[in-house]
Amino acid sequence: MKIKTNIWLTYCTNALIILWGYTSLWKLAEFDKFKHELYLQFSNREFSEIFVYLLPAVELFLVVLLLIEATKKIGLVFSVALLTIFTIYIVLILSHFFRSTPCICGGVLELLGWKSHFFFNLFFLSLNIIAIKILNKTRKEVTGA
Amino acid sequence: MKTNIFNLKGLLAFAFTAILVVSMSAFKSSSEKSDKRARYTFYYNGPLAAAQADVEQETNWVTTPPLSCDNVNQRPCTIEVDANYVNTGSTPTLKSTLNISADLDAIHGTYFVDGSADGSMNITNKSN
Repeated sequence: MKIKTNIWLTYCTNALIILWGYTSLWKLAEFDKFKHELYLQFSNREFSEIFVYLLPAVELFLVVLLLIEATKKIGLVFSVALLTIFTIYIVLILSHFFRSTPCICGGVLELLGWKSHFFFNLFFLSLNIIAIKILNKTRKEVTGA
Repeated sequence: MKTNIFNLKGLLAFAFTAILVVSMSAFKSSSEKSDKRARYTFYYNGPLAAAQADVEQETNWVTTPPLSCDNVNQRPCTIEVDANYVNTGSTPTLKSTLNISADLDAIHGTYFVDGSADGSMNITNKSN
């Protein structure tokens, strides 16, 4: 049985690997700064203490899921969920819901304004949804469903 | 048809990302233009009868919240500065490059903060 490897699925998945890999590794590289920004955002210290380790760990786990072919679909679904949460977070910031709005992101993302960051997330959310659709279609073709 | 267990191009992409992060963290951005940069709030912790030198001394400023500040220019209370002027870490401290300047409240003979090298610094002084 011939398995079609869709070039677009590879592009979209690898773009997401770069995105999550970049944000997680940057948080670890600039750990003290990330920790401080998280403290500024959430006044509850215990909550921040959990998130400061949980967030990069979840993002790195997501990269691993996307890197293994067998778990790619789970990774893509998980990625859509996380991107949606982060996009909602930016919408709340743009709606002035939070008193303090430091960026819990890293590197070049810090240089984007919140509106630009919102569209940046929408772009990756679209890529993510396209990747899931292609993967579903490819698997249906493979199983002959 | 043989398929790989790992997404090999993805592994390459991740390796590229890791190299990018390591090289970029070595050349940190010093831009102050972003509205997303971390800002730090410091509180005056020097002598109560603050002399000009006390107000301008960076080591007299700490991150532990004090009593409330009523924004009256008589005594120093809090300053919010850009991360560029802060030694980050578990206990952030002010860099001497901040160059805090103090002004005299002639009526009470006390000094308050009136500026620094950080043009974006937010100052909140307090009454006697």
